[in-house]
Amino acid sequence: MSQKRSVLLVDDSKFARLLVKAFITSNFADWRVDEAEEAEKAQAMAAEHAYDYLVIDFNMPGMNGLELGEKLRAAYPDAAIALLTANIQKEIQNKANGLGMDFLAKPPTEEKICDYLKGKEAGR
Amino acid sequence: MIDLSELEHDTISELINIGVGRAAASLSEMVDQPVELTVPTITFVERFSDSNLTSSPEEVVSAVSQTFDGPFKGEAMLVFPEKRSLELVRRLLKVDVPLDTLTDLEQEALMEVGNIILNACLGSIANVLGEPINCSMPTFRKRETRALLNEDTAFDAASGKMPVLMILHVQFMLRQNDIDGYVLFVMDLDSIQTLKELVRRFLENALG
Amino acid sequence: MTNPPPPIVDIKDAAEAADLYSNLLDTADVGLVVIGSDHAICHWNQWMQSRSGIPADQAIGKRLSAVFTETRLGRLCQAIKDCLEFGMPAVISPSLNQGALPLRPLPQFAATFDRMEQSIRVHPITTSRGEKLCSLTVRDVTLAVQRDRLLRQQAAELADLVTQTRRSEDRTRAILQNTIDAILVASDDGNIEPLNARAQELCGPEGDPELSNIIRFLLPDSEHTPPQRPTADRLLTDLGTGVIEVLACTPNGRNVPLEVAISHFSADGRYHYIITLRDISQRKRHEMEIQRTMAELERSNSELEQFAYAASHDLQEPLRMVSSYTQLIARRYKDQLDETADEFIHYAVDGTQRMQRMIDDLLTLSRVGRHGKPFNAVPLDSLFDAIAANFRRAGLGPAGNIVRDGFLPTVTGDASQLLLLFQNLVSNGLKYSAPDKGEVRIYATETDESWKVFVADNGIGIEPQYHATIFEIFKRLHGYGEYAGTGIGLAICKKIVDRHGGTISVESAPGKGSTFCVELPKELPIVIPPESM
Repeated sequence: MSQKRSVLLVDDSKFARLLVKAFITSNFADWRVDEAEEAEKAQAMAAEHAYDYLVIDFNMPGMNGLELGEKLRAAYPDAAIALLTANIQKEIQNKANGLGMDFLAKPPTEEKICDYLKGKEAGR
Repeated sequence: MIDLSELEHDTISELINIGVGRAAASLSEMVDQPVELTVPTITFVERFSDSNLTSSPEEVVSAVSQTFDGPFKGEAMLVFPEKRSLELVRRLLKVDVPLDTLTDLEQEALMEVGNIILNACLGSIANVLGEPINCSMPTFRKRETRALLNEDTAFDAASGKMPVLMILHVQFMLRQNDIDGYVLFVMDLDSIQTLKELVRRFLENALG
Repeated sequence: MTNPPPPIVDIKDAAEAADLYSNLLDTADVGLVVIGSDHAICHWNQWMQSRSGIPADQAIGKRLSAVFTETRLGRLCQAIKDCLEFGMPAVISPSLNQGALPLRPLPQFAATFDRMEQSIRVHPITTSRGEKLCSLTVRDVTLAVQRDRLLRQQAAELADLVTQTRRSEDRTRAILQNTIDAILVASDDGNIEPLNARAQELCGPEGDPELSNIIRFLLPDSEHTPPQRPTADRLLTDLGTGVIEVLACTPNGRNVPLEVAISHFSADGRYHYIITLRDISQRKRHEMEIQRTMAELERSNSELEQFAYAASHDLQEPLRMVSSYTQLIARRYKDQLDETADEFIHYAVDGTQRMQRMIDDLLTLSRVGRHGKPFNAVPLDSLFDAIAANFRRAGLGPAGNIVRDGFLPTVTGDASQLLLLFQNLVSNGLKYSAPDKGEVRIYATETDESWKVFVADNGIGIEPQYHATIFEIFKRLHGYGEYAGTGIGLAICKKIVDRHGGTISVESAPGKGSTFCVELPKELPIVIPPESM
């Protein structure tokens, strides 16, 4: 857990970003957490910095989370990408898994986010 | 006055979206076809006549309504123009019958759809804010838009407690087409203030 | 004033109240289930027991999903969970959750419903101790669902019917509109309504204003207000012939001959006529064409006959003179000149005699057309009696060489021409047979419309390639030396048969004899060839 990681949160809801960021920073104090409110900015930021984690909302104006995830997956094969969404239908889950993305159902809870990150860290 | 910060507005919006996401998932499972639900906009108005819902006041709408009570109280309503409600129910039930009004059973199905959505919205707020909300059983009404709020709303104009409306534009995305409706939250100013207070407190706690 | 009597049940008494409520729950016509915060069932009323077949003691204490091991419970279980956790009430509708619980339908629905159709309410209850419970109220709505299905079915059928009717109406209208004939309907009040575009064209403002009056005049029961008889130039046919033809005159000066057909029907207790007007301009043109051609044909035919008659008649005179004098020379100078002269004179006499016969035959041929007698019933038996007598008198062939085989009918025709016809055929038959054993057999058969009279011989027969041409004038198949004849006999036969509206044909093979068949119609044809009139 000593490893310093970086996370990019992509969500059009500021609330959601703040919430997830709070959960992460209170558990992984030295991690870097950046935010983007839409897909284009996220792509630009990912190009600047190699993030270890990309947490993406599904419903966003413009490009949706699956489309963005697909592009980022291809560009950054080593990053862990998770779709964090209120749209919890099987269809979306299956699509996310098909694209090599993890699936996290909204609402985000501290337990849910930490379990996910800890699980991933253990696997690294 | 309704005085929400951008973050507070965003928070309510996100909570509602989480709610309708759940509602869509259960609807989709029930009718065995993809159902997507989104809330593109949430607006607050002080007078019903200020909402664009009343742009055609004589249009007949179908509404499913539930009152709620708790730290904040009021009435939640899922509203569709009658034609759209027919379309929605028949798409969900996969029937195509040339009846121009809802049958009793279709009305009950619409009531269930409303119940699922309203419960999800209210539940999502209650769940995150950690405050229980008591809801009534849904009721169905069909009337002209302009008469939608005149009765049945528990607010008394004489007492000066003017209701405040939170209006969600709801889009059902079904296989063939999209159907637009509205969710109305009718609350008095006190309740809105309570809601705002709860959101603020929650944000403080969550964000430290 | 007296105090009201004390209530029979004292609900302030806990035991009495509990007993009353328990009874009420069990007598209710709805299913009532109460689920505790631990999700275990804590009440299961009588209705639930009877409709599910699960007694209360097997349900109480268990989760609903353990009582009904069912996959369809998803929505209901979620609703119970939301109710217990968040106090959310829920409506479980029959349409979105068919047969949510596996409950039996009433016997009267068992044939069409596997399960009872249910409308369920999930409602939170908070006890006085503050415990959160969840109640399920289950109503049997199978009857309503059945009615709803019936309503939908009927609505769908009605819609189908409307669509079908509309389609069929559109079709009928299209057919009517696109019919070439003008179709109008007249009601018994004399009102005439054009039904299609052509009718509008003819009877409308652009058409013939007089046409409606003419139609009114033609309608059968227009007696009460007898309309004026149209002028003669407007009625192209005599009324009463069954065919009505009128002339429409449009304002732009175009004249259209129309055939009128009238039929009728009854509707709404009134009599209506359907009038069909057919443009017969084309037919009229054809008719005129035919009439002109016929007249021309008749004229040329009669000219030809006139010519044939005149020619043969006028030829006779000089021929008779040549014939008389050559015969005179033959008689008077026989054996006075040399042998060669006698032979030459013989040829001259023979030639004039043959020419004499040809002219006679030509005259006969032309007379068949020119001097026909009216038709009568002609019994063929007596006709052949006469023919046999003629041959006996002429000493042609052995007795009994004309054999009649079975019944011979009575036909309609010109007796003297029919005599000539059959006499020619019999004579032909005998002529081309061996003189001593030549035999002609006459017999008849009958079809629905005609009599067939056969004249069969046992003579030399005719090669098939000649069968079609032997009835033409001057067709001889043999040299003059072998068989006497002018080559006109069968042409005369054909002409007589033609005049009688019949046909003549031959069946023959060389050495096998010939059979001539004369077919005469039983009813005379309506149109008798003009040359025979």
